[in-house]
Amino acid sequence: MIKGIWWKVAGLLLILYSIIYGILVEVPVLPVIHQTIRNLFFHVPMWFAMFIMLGTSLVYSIKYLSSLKLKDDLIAAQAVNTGLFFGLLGLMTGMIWAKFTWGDFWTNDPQLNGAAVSVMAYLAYSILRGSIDEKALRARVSAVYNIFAFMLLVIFLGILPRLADSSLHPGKGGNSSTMGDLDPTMRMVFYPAAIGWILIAFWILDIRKRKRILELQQQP
Amino acid sequence: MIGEDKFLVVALVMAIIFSGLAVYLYLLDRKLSKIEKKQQELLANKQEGK
Repeated sequence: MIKGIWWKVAGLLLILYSIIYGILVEVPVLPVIHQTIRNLFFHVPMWFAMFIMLGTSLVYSIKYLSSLKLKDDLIAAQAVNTGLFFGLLGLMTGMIWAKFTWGDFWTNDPQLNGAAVSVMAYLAYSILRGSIDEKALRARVSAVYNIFAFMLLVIFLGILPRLADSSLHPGKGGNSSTMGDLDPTMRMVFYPAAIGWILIAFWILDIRKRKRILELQQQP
Repeated sequence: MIGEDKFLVVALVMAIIFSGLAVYLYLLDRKLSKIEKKQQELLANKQEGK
């Protein structure tokens, strides 16, 4: 984990900047989307943070399988919990955005359904962990499942929506990507926002990990 | 102009909410550091006792 306090402060400042400047900056006026384009500064960074957290979890699960150190399993589990938190925030911000642009909170879209399936795959990870009492067995089974769940995430969020014939979502189903056509002024907000939320995700992971370690030390 | 004022209010409210969450995270972090320090002292005392 990263040492020092600078990265936590940097994360907070970057997000504060993205909130204030993101709401006040001039955005290109696009049909249908209009001013809701500003949600890009909040919705997409949530998925970035989730991906990074679940990727971190995958790394620690693989690390656990090679080292069998329970601390690696603990970090993997807490990274999944943090990733799930950001995934649910991503779903919520997406649903609100969809309501204002597509007219409904949920549409039968490959990207939306893929996101829901991926989040459910990781909820299943948490349930799986909760169902096994023996520590070493729980760690080994959940580490293996975590590798499988990450593959599902890549397939359902990264591959299948791109192969779909039709999708309302930008960048999917043959639509142009919002990221590729992003206005330079919006890039000045979007990238700091993404980096800021990723740093905050690591801070939350750090807090969760330390809290869990303390709880385990208190146990007889 | 009225629209611009509304943007400012939204930015301000969001910044205040986020600042609240940031303070909560910071306090949680500080509290954990204190407990960790105490825990380490306890462990050190135990080892000295042995």
